[in-house]
Amino acid sequence: MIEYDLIMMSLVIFVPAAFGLLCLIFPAKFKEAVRWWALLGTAVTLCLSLCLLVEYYFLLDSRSDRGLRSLHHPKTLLDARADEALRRASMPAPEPRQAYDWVGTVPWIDRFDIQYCIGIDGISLPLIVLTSLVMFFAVIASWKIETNVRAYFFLLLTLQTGVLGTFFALDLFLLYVFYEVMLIPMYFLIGVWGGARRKYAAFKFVIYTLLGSVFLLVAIIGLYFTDVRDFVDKTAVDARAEERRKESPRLTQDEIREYHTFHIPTLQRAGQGAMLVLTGQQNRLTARDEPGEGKVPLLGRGVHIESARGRFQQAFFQPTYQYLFFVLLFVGFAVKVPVVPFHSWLPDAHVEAPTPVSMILAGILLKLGGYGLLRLAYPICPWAADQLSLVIAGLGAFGIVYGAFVALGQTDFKRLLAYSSISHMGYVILGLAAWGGGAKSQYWAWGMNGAMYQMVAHGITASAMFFVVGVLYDRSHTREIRQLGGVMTSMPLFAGLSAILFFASMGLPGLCGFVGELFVVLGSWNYHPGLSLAAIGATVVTAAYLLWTWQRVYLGVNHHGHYTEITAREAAVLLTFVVLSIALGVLPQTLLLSWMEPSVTGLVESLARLKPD
Amino acid sequence: MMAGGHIPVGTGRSHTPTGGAGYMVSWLLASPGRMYVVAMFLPLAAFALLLIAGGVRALCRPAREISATARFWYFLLGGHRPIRLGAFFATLAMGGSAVFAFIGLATYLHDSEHRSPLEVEQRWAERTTWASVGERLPDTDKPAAVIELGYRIDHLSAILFAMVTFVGTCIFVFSLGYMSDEREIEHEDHTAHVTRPGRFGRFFLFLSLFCFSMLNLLIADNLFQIFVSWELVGVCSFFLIGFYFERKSASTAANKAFLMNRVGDAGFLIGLALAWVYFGTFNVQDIARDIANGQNPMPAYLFTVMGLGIFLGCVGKSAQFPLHTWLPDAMEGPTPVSALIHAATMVAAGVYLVGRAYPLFTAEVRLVIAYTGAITLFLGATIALVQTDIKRVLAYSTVSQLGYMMLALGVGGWVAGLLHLLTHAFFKALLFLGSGSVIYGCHHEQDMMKMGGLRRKMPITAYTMLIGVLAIVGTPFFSGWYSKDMILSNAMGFALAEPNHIALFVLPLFTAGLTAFYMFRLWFLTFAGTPRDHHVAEHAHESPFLMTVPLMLLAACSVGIAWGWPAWEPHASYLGHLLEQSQPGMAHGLAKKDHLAGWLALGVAILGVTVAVLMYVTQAINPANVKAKMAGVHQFLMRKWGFDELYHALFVLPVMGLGFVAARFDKKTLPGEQAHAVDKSINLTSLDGVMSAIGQGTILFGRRVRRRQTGQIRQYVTAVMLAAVVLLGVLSVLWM
Repeated sequence: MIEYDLIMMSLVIFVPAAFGLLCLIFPAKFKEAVRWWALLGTAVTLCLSLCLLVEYYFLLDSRSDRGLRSLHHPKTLLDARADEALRRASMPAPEPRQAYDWVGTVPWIDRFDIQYCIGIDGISLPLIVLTSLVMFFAVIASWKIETNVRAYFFLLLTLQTGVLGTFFALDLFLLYVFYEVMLIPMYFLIGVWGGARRKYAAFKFVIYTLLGSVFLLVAIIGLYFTDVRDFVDKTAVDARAEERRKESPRLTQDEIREYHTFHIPTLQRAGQGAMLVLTGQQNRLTARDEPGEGKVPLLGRGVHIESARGRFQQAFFQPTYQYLFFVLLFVGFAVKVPVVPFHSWLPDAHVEAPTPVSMILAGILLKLGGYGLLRLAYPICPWAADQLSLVIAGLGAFGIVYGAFVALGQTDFKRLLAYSSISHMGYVILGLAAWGGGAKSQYWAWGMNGAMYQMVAHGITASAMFFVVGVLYDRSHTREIRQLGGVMTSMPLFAGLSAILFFASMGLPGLCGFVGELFVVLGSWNYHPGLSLAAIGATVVTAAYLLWTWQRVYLGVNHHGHYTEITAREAAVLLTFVVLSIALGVLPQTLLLSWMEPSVTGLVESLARLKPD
Repeated sequence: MMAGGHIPVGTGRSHTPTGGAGYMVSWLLASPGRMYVVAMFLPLAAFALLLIAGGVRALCRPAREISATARFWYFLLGGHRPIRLGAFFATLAMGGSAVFAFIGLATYLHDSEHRSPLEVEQRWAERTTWASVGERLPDTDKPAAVIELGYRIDHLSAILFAMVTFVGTCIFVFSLGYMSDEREIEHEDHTAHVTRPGRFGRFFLFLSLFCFSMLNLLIADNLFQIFVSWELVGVCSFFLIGFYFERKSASTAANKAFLMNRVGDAGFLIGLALAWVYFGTFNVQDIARDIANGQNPMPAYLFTVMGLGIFLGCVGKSAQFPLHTWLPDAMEGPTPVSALIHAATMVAAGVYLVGRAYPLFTAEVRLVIAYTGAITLFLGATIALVQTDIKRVLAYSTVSQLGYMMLALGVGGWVAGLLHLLTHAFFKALLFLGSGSVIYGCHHEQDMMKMGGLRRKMPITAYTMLIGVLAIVGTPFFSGWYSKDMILSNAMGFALAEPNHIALFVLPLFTAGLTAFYMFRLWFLTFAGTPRDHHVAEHAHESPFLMTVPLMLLAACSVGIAWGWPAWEPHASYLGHLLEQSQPGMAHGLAKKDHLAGWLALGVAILGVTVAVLMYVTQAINPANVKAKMAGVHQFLMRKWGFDELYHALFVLPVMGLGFVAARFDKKTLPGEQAHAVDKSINLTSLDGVMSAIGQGTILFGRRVRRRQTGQIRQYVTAVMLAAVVLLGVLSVLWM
């Protein structure tokens, strides 16, 4: 018997890859058919992910208190749902699995306790929907690709499976596999269909990303070697001990009971436990079925703190290793965000990649970095994250300012957008690094939500802006800003739509870019006014480079030949992005915040309680 | 947006054919403040309609040859012709908004007299959630939990709302005439030397969006919403300044305006962040209440910083020193835009915000406000003395008058400053529209030196403008006299109480004379005497009815808007009394109720007029001689005190330079084919180069090692030892 939620989520992950594989069996000359097939594949995925959204909303709504019009409930948090699923599975007589809890597990490699464990919450779901959406439009934008169409769409759709899988995965190993799956198609997409320096750019992209994933891999292996039996229900440990006793009777009683896992929620709890241990708050630890005043229920059911103390001597609970794990995870994902100074691959990759791939790079792949920090680095190593928060927030603020200034000095439109991405992703880092415990956690929650909102907003504006450059490039065959001009005269509709996107990117109120930036600024001021000031100051530079570009590209008199107005296909892409930019800017609560925020705030609260000011 | 959450509009069943309308009326009467919400959304509806119509038409344009549907829609929406019907619709929407505003004003005034304050508060204010974070438990007032949108009507916003919609309607009507050449399919832009389709519809599109944002700014009850509309009016101003975007000067001026405003907005944002962190709300009323109750959780210095931050936003928007340089350049936009946005409404928003957020300003901040105003009013007036472009004179005069308002607010004359905002809006809109009429009549000639003697060709324009000039100069019984008198008596009161700050009275007094001089100079040069350029004079003509009616309406307001009884008593102004009702408790002016300041100012002004008459009418003093004698001063003023050059050298160039340096530091790039060369070489002068060099070094090292593989065992051992040492070193550092 397989659960409904597991099927739905797996469909979202694997439908693109299935469509991609089927692309290959088309005869080579049916280019148009392949395109439509790929579009169908992404359309199906988009519909399915929207279904997930509806289902997730129902899940929140079913628990919510209607009088308060709030979708908060402790039982709908991912951690609680995953824990419940684990509890049911580990009962001596397993209870039926829940079909609507939106976490699902299938054993995969039993020897290492690797599971196909997936789930959604308000942190992953916005990015999943964003991925499906951007991919759908990237396929529309790929209509102009003429060489090796089948291979192109196969790679594109495989890439989508990799990205979606990473967002769904609740098992570190699974996450790593998907993360790597995504890398190879990207290499070929840039290296084969890219511009003049495509080989160099693709190589650089792979080297940087591989370096990041090596860090990630080391961290994952290190985490696996930690014995986390105290953070797992006693019944689960018993059950596994029983199995192991049968397999290898020579092990000692203690060795049998060792519990290693890749399960992300469990590791998060262990990491939070480590923070309590390291800050001398061991006594606040308690079992999940014995909550108490001022206690933090992290330990597994049936586990007592006294029996667990001995195992807090493990490496994982030492400051050095907390730092080590955090730095490994942080660098692994920082390359992807990218955080200055690990950003050098981005301008090259963006500039050389074909338009749709640039859209995907900026719109989706960068979000993997932010997601990884939010989902892994911070919850698994909160102590080190707290210790290093000033450094990280500083890197974020520096990235905002640095990216903006470098963008100001660019002459290549696409490279300018690449640096503007670096600048905008800095807000994500700043927002999530703005630690605050106790009463200040409310402000951190704004920062964290701002970071998430910024990721979604940037996903929309950045992919739209890269599409804008693509449209211009198709007509003028140049990306040099100096060689463009007067576009508004010949392409008024295009100019009107791009104007809204420019201002959305600039963070004009009423458009999506503003919401995230505002939340981050409001949240981070409480953490460190200086960093917030830097972010505020950068808004002026951001306006400067965007407006200057606007003036040089769109205004003035066109001396470079007549460009034809955008086609219906291009208009459809741009119009959707524009409508989304406006809608997300005007109605943040209704459209996104209401169902995203409970999970994000839940994460903040679970971390903030570890540091009561 | 405002009330949608609470009021189920759609569920109101209509049993009778008029049920829908009846429901609408009862919906409005339940909370009459909603009238203002409706009035605010009317221009937005016009904007949306124009936007969608334009978008659909542009979308259908390429397909009109092949698809019948596309052709149908294309020609239904005007075909090749610029949208015209939409412009009339926008004007109608604006007019409707004005009707609502006046009904609202009357209702509010009635309410405020006949109902208890609590009831008024309930009927004229509503809030709704825009974004919230964290669980909202019942009966807890958790700070920083929710960002709200809302409206709150008081005397100040009701009166300003009426003013904006009235002036707005006048200007919309005027624009129907003034922009009529934009209705041509092929419009010739003589400045940029291009022929292009007219942009009649686009003009009204931006104008409507502007009005929506401006009205939203006025009725907002919280700083966040003010900030949102603050930026929105800024962006409309950006598009309208750059309306003739083929002209480099126009697009540059637009960028300058937007960026200088962004600098101010950054300050505003700092203020917002501070308010959020310490008060946990943006609601002005709530913050003011906390402060009044002595529950100010903020350290005093931060409170000052917050005030300065918010004021910096006002400095940007109201073109105060040192961010004043964008406003004169903004005259690149069409003249109705200058009248509406850059004279009557948007630039006054800064003054409005100072008035609105008055309780958030400490005494130090108020002093800064006063000095900023004093410096600005003097600065603007001196530059206006030498300008020859009719619109630039008015632009500098606007800068100067806004300075008067800021000064008044700074010295505690809350009513005086805001009353001047109102009277100025009417006479400055009148003056700008008059200048628009002149420019229209002279076929886009703006240089006053080529005019002269136009009063015979365009009498209505000339004499309505004369009324405007008399009002701005402060002629008794004209509206400007009431407000200026109040400002000066407040300044004098302040200076008498604190003699250190005597400059705050001397500067505005002296500037009253300058104002009189440059305004009469403008009128004389344009309308009096004989024509100096016969080509201009021959073709000059009075503007059509559509343009002169707004002039006459505004002229009537410029005379009588501030009247009260007794009319010779400035402090008896009825409008002033109304404004006084929403004066914050802590604003206590030190105004002397005698007429000394007023008489002094009048004397100085008469002196200014006399000099103007001597120079430009009787020619007793030859302006050329004066110019020659004071060449240095003249040059200094012509160069606008050198601010543009200074900022260019101080900010623009360094920032741009920093951009290019940063770009070079980040990555070495070469254009075209040479780019490959950079990729292959090792380059340690950029961040990217260094990062790449590490990789390249590894590869090179790999090659070297491969060669060594056949080498001696000793080297292997050394390598292994070295590696072990490094590893141990790393580990020991980690364990420490």
